[in-house]
Amino acid sequence: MVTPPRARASELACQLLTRETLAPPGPDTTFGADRVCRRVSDELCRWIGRDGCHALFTRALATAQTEGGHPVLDTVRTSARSVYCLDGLTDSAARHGAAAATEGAAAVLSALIELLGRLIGEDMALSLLEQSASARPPARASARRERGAQ
Amino acid sequence: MIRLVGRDDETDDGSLIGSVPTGVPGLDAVLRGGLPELSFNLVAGGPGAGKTTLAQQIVFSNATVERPALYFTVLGEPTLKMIRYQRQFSFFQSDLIGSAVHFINLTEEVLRDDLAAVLQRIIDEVERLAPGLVVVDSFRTLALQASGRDGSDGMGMEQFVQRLALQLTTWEVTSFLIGEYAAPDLDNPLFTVADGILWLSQESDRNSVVRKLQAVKMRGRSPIPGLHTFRVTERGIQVFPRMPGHQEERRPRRHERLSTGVPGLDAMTGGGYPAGDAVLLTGPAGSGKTMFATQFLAEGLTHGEAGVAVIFEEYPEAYLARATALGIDLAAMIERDMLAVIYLRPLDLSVDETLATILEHVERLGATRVVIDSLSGFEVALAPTFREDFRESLYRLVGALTATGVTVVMTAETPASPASSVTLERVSFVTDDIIVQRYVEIAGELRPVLAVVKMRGSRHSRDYRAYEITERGAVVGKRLDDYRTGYAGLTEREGTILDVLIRLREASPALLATQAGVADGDVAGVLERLVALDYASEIGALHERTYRAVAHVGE
Repeated sequence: MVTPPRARASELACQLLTRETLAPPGPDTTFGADRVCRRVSDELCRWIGRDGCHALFTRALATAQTEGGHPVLDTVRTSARSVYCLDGLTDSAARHGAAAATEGAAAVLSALIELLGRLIGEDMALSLLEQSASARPPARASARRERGAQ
Repeated sequence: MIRLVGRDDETDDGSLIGSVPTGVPGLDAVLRGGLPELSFNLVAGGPGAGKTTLAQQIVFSNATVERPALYFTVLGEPTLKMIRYQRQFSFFQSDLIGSAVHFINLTEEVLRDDLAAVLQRIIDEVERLAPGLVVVDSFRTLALQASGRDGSDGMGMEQFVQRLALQLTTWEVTSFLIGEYAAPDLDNPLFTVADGILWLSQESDRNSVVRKLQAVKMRGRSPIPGLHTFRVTERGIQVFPRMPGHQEERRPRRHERLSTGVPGLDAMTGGGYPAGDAVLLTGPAGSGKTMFATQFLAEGLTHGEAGVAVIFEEYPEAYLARATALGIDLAAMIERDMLAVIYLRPLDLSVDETLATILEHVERLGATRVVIDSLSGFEVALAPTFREDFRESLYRLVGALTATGVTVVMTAETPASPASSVTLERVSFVTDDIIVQRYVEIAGELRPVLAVVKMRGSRHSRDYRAYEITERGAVVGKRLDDYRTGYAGLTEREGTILDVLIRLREASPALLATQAGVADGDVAGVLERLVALDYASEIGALHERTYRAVAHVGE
């Protein structure tokens, strides 16, 4: 049976968030779902610019809010001025609990993947989100070369 | 993968400059071996000219995980939309995105009016990812944005371009700046700094659009000059290198003869068409030109010689069905890779595209026989802009084909329409051999006859011979000695003057008037008709014009 795009998007969103939750704690103590969304936002900004990223997150958030079931998203906003496209998720987690906030973040990411899939193709959207969510601060090529020479 | 050539390395030909293959069919031939490695290039042209497609085709052809490509986008077309459209092309490999091909948006830096920040961002990403290729799309937008700035960061556009070129070369990057530039922009400093400039354009003429590419500048290379047509298909861009203006060096003529597939015509031509010749088969509608051409192909196929048929006037299915009815199974020959039937009818063709298509099949099959059926249809299929110089184009086409050693048989309908360039007079100079068909009246019956009117450098029959199109093909008969002949479509006076011309072989209008016993003033109009109907040809300059009978009938 062929999995519908929505289910695949939802599955990837959940995987990304679960992976982050299971990862050993690092220096960044912010809420795990917030860290995933921030990385996706950073990488998308790099790809398509802040305006493009903001437009995608705004639409994805609106879709997740409209489809309901996530009161945790009521106070989450997107901001064109902010480098980070999704504001208020950590605060919502504090009010509604981490599980509810993670579910809300999963709904936003799922809507984002689905939307991106309609624009550039599902394969590329899934791949892009996978890469974005696992992106780490980039090492410079010169540093890589130096490491390689050692 | 891009082959890097370091300072101490040399390429096979001893040059220090290696080549980056573009991955764009035909473009490497235009550039005579690809782009110079580490060159700083500008891809310029108007909106919709194909600049982004060209750049992305080069990117996807060369990018690897080890030497990725960075595609910087600047304002203009949103990145997502660009990807959405570009991924429709078969060269676009979505699995390379993020690993071998990186899209990076520079809008933020550009909107800050900070050229130093733009340059730094590009350098940072280049240092981070060590790319082999860098594209900035659109550079024109960046330049326009920067034009209104105060230069508070101490960097003008000219300086920015200089530094960018320097940095990218230092990082061993082959780069492309894409911009909507027009001819008046040629004094832009960017054009001076760029090592290479590829100019893309599209011209509309009536209902046809013709795309053209020009390598305006390419340091370290001597690209084929002129405008090269290109087409954008689902596979991306394909360039059709302009055929050289001069006749390509022709292979030495062989003394071998290729049977025409029609025994009677073989006898008239002294054993068939000379191998490597360009043959014109001309006659009125329905006279069997296609039949003769098909028999020429079939004869070769029977003896293991592959062939190519380029048809313009009927669908391939109809063409093959007609051959099958004659007992010639061309479809089976296509299956066995012995024959290619190329059907071209788009009305926006260029001669270069036609040539490229024919040569591709000739090389693939190792073909020795090519049929172009017909020149009249070919002319109509060309974009209007190419019809204007059809004779020159045909000259180059035939020259390029015969240079490969193939024997080319072309058909042409006569009398041609007044607007057509395809008249015996106008195209005979590109051919080595000419066979003329026409209808003549014999004993009250209209019969087709043919004659060999020209065979360069070899003896041939000068007879008119009657022929028939039978269920098994064309059959050429004997000379028309036993018949009293007449000329189809000619008045008695015209017939009389033609008789005189045939007897004299060549004569001036004044001599014809005297010999035929008609007034000088009447001869001019008659001769004009005889030339139009291909009974006679005009020779010599205007003030000493003479006429010659095309062939002898029943002599």
